[in-house]
Amino acid sequence: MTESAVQPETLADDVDHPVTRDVLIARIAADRRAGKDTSKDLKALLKIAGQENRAALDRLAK
Amino acid sequence: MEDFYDAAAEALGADLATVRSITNETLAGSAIAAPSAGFGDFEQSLDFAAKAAVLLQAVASNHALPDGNKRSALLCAIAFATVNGYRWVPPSADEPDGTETAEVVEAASTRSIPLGALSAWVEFRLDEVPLPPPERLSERPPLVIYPAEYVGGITYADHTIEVGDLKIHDVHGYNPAGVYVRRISGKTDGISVAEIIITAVGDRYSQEELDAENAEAQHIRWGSRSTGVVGWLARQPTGVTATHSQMKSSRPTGRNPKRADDYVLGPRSLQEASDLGSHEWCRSGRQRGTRMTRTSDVEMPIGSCERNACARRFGDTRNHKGSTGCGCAR
Repeated sequence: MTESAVQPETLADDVDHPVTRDVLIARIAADRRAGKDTSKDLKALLKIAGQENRAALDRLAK
Repeated sequence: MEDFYDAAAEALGADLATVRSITNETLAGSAIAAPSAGFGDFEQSLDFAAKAAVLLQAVASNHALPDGNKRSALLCAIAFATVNGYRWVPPSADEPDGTETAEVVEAASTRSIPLGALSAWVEFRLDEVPLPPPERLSERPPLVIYPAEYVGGITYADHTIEVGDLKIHDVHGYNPAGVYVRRISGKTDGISVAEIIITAVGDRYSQEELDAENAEAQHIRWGSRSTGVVGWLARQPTGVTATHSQMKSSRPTGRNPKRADDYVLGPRSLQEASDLGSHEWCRSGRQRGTRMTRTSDVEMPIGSCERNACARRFGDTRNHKGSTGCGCAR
């Protein structure tokens, strides 16, 4: 499986893989620019962001 | 709006249907539109970090959700950064309990942190991810820059020059003896570009000077900053009224048929305008042409330009006005 073929669900669990995440960011930005649907990728990335900022989010929830 | 729902759903740990049902769409829409606020062509937030900061603050303080506004605001800002090709880097002071981010977002929600400070903080969080070129970019034909052609000497009335059905307003200083037209065509960002540049100079160019201008034009990169191809057209400062045109339908020389949506280049922002030092304005015929639109009242004598190019162009200093004259002399 090539990197670009990795499914977002897999990426969501792959927080410690910045290269893969960058690919996802680049893909979202490029797809947005091309007017394509990015909701699936964005959800995956938000999941990553949620995990990465979990401590801050939990603190804000208090 | 969908992105807002996605961010809120992730922040709240709820499903989309629930988030939709509890969201005040008016307040959410207002917050989401905040980064693009402006007046006419002038945007309130000039750089991307400022836009992200405005979004963060607006979502956090608008209270579009009954709960989780600050969390949603943080994720909205991250999503906003992402779709624009930036990676969000949490501050090191967030370890181990997210203190810094939480405190900043908290302050943003009460608007107790100045927007400038918030923008600066956001800027440190953004790390640009290199993007692949647009699909059609690699296929685009190169921009073609045609030699400038002499149109004629045109006197102006009421501070306006008319070239064909194009009007260049707010011209001050002198009657241009020489008016030149340069065409550019091609594609950038996958969009067709057809552009006509009007250059008006105090004296008509000699053939030698015109040749030099044309040679110089071939070395200028044209296009928008986002494509990495920058040029003067993308950097027209405000306060300098068009000496080039972004014409939608006119054919001032009868040589350039085009459609209204055929062009993409144009002035960008105040920030980009300020990026241009006045010295830059002295370097080519197009830029020299813009000097006639400067309106401050400091007169420059002939020869005071270090490059001695502008004075030669303008000739008559009685009407040669500008805050620093040609922009070269300091």
